[in-house]
Amino acid sequence: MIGYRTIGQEELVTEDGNITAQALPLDKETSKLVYETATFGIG
Amino acid sequence: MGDHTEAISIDYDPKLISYEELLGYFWNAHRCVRNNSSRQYMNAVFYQNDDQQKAAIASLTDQAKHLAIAPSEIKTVILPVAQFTYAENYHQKYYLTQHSDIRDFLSGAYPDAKSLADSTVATRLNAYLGSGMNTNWNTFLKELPSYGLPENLEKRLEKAAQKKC
Repeated sequence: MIGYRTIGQEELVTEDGNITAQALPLDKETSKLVYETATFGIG
Repeated sequence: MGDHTEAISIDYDPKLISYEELLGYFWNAHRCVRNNSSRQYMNAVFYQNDDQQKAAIASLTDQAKHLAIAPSEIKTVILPVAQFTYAENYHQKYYLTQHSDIRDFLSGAYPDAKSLADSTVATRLNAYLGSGMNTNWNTFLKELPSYGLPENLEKRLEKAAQKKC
């Protein structure tokens, strides 16, 4: 976990290119994928 | 939040869907001929590299042609992505907030915003339930056992899906 800061009670985390969700079997599998990222703002 | 813009970040498998296809969904999901004056809420493509920049510009040109307007009339902006910060946990997977049993289970498995946002299981459940159960429920039923949900949740979702099939 990198680059976090706190707003209110919660630490805000910065994207680091890794998938941290590993607790469930499907997530463990998909976290191994070589994925790409698309980012959009929708006002 | 300062000079931040609210945005969605989609991690996708390029073997299953292309960036160009995602751009197509993006153009269909907003009105591109106007934009907000506030930086917090604006229509934008945030590109990660030269290839995405080229694809975004090409898609803007295509959208202008589609709308029979000049590209300059499109107010959606194309910008390089800066640092992406995850919103707080309660902002993630909105439709799951209407299913407290599922939300509680997933929040237990993924207590922080990043892991909840990154979870394929949470993302798929959010999409299926957010569709108002008007999506491909046969596919959902095939996928459901792979999610690793507790038996009671799996059964409840299975029943809900079977009613829709």
